[in-house]
Amino acid sequence: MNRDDGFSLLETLVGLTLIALVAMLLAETLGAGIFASGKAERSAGAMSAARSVLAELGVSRPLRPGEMSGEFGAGGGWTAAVAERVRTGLLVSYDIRLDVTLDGSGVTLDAVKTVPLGESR
Amino acid sequence: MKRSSSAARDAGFTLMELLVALALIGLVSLLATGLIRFAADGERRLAQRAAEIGDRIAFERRLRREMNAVLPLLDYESGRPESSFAGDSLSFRFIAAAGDGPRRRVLSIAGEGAVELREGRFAEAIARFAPGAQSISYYGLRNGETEPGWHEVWAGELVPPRLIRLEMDEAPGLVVAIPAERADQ
Repeated sequence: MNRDDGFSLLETLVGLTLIALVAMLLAETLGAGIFASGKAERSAGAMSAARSVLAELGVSRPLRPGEMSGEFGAGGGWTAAVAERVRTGLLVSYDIRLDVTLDGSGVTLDAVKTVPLGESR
Repeated sequence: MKRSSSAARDAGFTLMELLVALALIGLVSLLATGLIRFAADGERRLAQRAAEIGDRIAFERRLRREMNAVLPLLDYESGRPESSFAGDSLSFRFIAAAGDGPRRRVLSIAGEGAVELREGRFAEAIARFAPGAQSISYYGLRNGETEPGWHEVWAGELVPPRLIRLEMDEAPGLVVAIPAERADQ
């Protein structure tokens, strides 16, 4: 075949198929990235919710030893295992293990909170 | 493609061959451009999303740090002592300790649910985040009350509130604490 003929149909098709394959690989990688970023977003949301619950524990939600739980309006909820750690004449400290689930993502926070004795808040 | 004579070579493609070839090229290139576009768009979306997550984490950290540094200072502007912390459902002002001394701050919900932190009411925003915030409420013990509770307004009190809640339109509310040793002083 003469060189001046340019690309044959077969060559063109092979070339385009290769381009499509490479683009597909690229798209797949980015797809994985988007999936991971979605996961990161949900995880950040769950962490934010957990910190918010932790801020409320011992303030607007009095701490008592045992299980505490609540729900978010947006779907999801939290449970907290609370145990007394140490008690002095004026203060009481609690060990808190907080589990939060939100949008299919979950976080666990361990914390210690000290509140004035008597008022539990 | 084997061509037996120079006459056949000169004839080029038949119409059918041409049509099939064009259809195939069209199909494959459509697929290729579609994928390339998706990939390029995905890259943009990915960068945007990463920036949003970063903004959100940074803003929340900033907010918690500021609230942790709220000073229980009293104002005498109205002729009687009242906490320098005051707010309603769309904004609140406070004085927080900073590295170089106390700083007046205003946090407000601007248009479209964006939350902005400013140095003063009319200053440039020093931190901004668009979480879709709806309203602000305050938890604490107000003057003359025996039980603390959630309130839509915090004004004319002697102490700052203990908790601040930013109500969001989609996510659960963001609750930030002001340390008791400050609020109760």
